[in-house]
Amino acid sequence: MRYFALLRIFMANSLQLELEYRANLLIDFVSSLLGFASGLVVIYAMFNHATAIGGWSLPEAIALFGVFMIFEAFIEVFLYPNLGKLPDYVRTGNMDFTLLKPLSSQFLVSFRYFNIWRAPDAIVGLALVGYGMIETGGLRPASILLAAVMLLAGAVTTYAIWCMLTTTAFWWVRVSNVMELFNAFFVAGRFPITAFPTWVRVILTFIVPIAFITTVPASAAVGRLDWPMALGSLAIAGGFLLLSHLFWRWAVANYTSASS
Amino acid sequence: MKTTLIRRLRLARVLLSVTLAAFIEYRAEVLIWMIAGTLPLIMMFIWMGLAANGPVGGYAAADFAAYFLLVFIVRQFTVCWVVQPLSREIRLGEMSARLMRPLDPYWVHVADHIIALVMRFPIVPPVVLLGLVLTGALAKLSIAASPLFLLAIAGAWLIRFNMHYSLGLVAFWTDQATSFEGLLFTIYMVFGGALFPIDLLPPTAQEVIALTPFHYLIGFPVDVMLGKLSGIELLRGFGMQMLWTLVFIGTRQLAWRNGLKRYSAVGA
Repeated sequence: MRYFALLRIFMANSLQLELEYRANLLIDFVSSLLGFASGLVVIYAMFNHATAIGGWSLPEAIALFGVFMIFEAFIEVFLYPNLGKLPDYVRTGNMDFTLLKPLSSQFLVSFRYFNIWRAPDAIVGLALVGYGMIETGGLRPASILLAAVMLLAGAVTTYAIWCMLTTTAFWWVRVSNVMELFNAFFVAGRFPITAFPTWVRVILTFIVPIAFITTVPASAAVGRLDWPMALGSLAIAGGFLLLSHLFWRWAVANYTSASS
Repeated sequence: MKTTLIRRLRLARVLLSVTLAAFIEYRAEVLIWMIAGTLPLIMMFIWMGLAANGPVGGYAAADFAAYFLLVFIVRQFTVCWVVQPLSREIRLGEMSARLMRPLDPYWVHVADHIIALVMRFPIVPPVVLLGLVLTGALAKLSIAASPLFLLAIAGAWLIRFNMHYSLGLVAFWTDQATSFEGLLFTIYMVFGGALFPIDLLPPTAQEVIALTPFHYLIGFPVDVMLGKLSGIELLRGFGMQMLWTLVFIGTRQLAWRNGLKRYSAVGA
């Protein structure tokens, strides 16, 4: 309960902070718009010459792109402003203050700041998912609920991967590149996993589980989800979250501060 | 005469040892940055899948493989990250120390970027060659065009580096320079042809894109190596590369001169 109250204070505080820098607003808006347009241009170029990508029709592919946009927004709003700062905390020694507070340090490092200006991306993404659902089978409560659960599982998995990658900052201070590494795989998430050759599919399912992050929620939305994948998604989310927490605890236990 | 030669040789030796030292120190990062440039390869898989049952817009699967592997190589050898460090130097006043040296800071960044290219040499070409062999796309390349391909990459590098340097100099006026970089990147990827060959678009769109600098950063060098361009088209392409190079060198010099005045005016 205390953590929810804190979350609310952090959000209000971030909002105040963001309102100081309103110049960001326009640039963020334009870059959202461009990202959206470029994504649609790619889909347009593909469907101009084909009727399906990896067995996915145009509305289904649009719904998938919507899911991809939601996760991009999730990363920009929550993960990047928080976990992205971890290497700096470690380098400057500010991590010490975080550890001194009577709270879970993982919580504090993960949910302190919010870049709300990128949140509209998520709304556009939701609209695209909605469009895909209407075109394929309608907005049924069951599929909405299922898609929401799968989105949540995907968000947990994304968070856990990011958290583990940035936790390596405790050992390698120059970790910003490691986040690039996640992006390198994440960009594959705007296309259905079935569109890739088998060996790439294996990598994107079992090694970097991008398939569970984007393809599975989109499948749930357009009514083509198979249950093993859905259950796998939940299992992976739980497993990765636990793993990230254990890794964090271990990293903090081995942390020796910047000065020592 | 003899002493200048000795001086240059010594300079080259120093530069080489610096390159080696940097390579050894940052080899893991170089590898990560190379993996981070995989978007063209992801697009390659998708387009090859679409072309599995027959050519798409004149591209067979092997054509797509050749196209995107060349995109990958062009992107790797025109890599440019100058906006971040340059705008930081200006914002935080680190530029003051650099101005004390009898050398335009421009050349320091140029050297940095050239070194990054040298580091890619042992890895990128073999990987691309392997990819070309595995996808059966090697025959799609026009080997005779290799010298022109290198020339086009050099042109692309000059445009891109001076464009980004100019953007970095925007930091003299506003602290938002780095946010513009994201916008530029999106346009560059689409118009450059890193996500799909632009000849899959309607002719009007192609003509518009061919006027922008972005086409000459990726699409044009790739088309050169694929042997797609006639003599006239080659002349026109290289002419456009030269034009855009001059435009951005001019922009950079203008921004540098005016920005520097502002910088001293601030009294940093």
